[in-house]
Amino acid sequence: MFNKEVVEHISKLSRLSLKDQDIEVYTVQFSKILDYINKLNEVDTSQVTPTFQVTGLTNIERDDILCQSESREAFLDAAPQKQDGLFKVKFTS
Amino acid sequence: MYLPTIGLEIHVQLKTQTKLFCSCKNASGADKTPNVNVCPVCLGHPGTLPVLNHSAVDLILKLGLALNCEIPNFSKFDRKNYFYPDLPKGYQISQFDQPIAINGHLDLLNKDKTTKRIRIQRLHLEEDAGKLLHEEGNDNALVDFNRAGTPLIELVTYPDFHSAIDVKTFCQELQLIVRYLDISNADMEKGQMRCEVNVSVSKTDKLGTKVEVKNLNSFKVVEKAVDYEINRQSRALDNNEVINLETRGWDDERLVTYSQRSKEESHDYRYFPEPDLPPLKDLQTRSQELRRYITELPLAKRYRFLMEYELSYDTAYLLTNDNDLSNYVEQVISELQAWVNSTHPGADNENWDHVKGKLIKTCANWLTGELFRLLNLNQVFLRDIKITPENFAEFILLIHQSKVDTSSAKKLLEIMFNSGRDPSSILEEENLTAIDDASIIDKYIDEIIVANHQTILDYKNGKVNAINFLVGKVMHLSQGRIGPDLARKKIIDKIEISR
Repeated sequence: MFNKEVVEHISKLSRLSLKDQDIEVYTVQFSKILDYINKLNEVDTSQVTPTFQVTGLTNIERDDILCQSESREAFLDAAPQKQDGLFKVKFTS
Repeated sequence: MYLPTIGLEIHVQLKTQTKLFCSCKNASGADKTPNVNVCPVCLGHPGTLPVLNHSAVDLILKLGLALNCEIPNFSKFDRKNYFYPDLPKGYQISQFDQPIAINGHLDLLNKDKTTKRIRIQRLHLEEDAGKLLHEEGNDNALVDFNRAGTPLIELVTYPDFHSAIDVKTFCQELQLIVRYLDISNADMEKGQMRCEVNVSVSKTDKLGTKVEVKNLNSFKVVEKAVDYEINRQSRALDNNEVINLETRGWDDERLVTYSQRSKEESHDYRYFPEPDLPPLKDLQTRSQELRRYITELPLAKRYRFLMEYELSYDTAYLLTNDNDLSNYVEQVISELQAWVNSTHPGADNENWDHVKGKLIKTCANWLTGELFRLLNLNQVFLRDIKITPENFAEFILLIHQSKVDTSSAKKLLEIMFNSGRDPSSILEEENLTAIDDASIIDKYIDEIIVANHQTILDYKNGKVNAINFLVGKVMHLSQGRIGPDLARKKIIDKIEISR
């Protein structure tokens, strides 16, 4: 059953702070979305093996050989905020 | 009395050149400048593809074999989803339901030569997270991704421990094994090996609520934290309190555990198969090929040192606690054996068997005593030592043959330690050879007896300790080339004759 507590739990896992009124709205919306997706459960999959991989490849490995990236500044510049060579982010606990 | 039950989760940082899924350097924490060993893969940039490091798989297979694990033929990776600023992709690539090694065990050697078996549930590969640095006074955090994506083995034991000391012993033994196999340096202070303990206590067969303790960065702390938890939980239950299922940290200042953020449940991680990494097949064949790289493990070596070298448990333990050291010991012993066999050519090592007990004991005493002292004093690692095993063996033989007495031997070893020269030539040049010419010894003894008339009288009148003074005089006069035991014997003989 999809209720308010589930939405609150998911908001906690996704580190999103929701207002009470948002929670009400999302509870309704989430339920509808799930009901829609649940239609998939009506399909008989008892004869179908799960698919995790589509390439058919196995044992793809590389040798343990160093290949250094040399664009440190470019990586740091790509982030919204940086400081002293470090990525600066909002702390979430 | 409550029976504690303890299980372990141990992370070991692998000693590969590169990270687990990209070709960035795996610096094992030695990179002081932040974000130098990063690339689009380990920074979690969109559109990048992880590719598995072949060596990392070999290393975990080796550890799996060493820990008597089953290696399933098939293994795959999974995504473990959670949000934290040190995790760039929003998920960690780990292994969930099909780890690389399962159902192993590690036997711990008890003092009475019996063993205690700890079962190992699983070993899997996963990537490490980055490092967070908090900024004081605001909501921001600074992140260094040098460590992100570096390879870890996670080892999970069954809850087979019932005391803190066994937990500590297991951790030490595991550290030794991964060092023997050159899988990891496993330095706990450097975070190369991290232990988490799950502790519960109960008076019945039904296990109590388990509490996880993290941030244990030394063997001593592991032991202290387990003991602390056992006591804390027992007291709480005595007071009819409820034990919470929680994660606790260790406060090394106050020597207590403290409650940490409540952990996400396993199903909250929404594990699912990693679509970007093709699975691994034929791991059994591969592990069989790796079996020949599994060298003799600490337990077996320890047992051999006990039986073959006739060493005591403590000495055998000490000498096998470091691979460099045990190799050195074996080289020295093999030099000793070669010498005995060549100077006493006889059938079937008969002479070696006759003297090996005494020789090896002398060797072990000098190694763990004077040589350790010199290594510590000079902050030298054994692998950098200047004394070759051949020269050390020669040194032991000189003592064995009484060609040098104990006090001169100390001097001799120190010169060898500092110079790397061979002991025989030092003995000659530094005039340390014990005097074995009886007439010269007599001359020294006579000289001392004549010069210390009063002391001789004291001795004759029953002041037995007076002899020590004379022994000291003889040693001083001969510059240590007449040993104390010989000097004592000679002096007493002379005095008795003159009575």
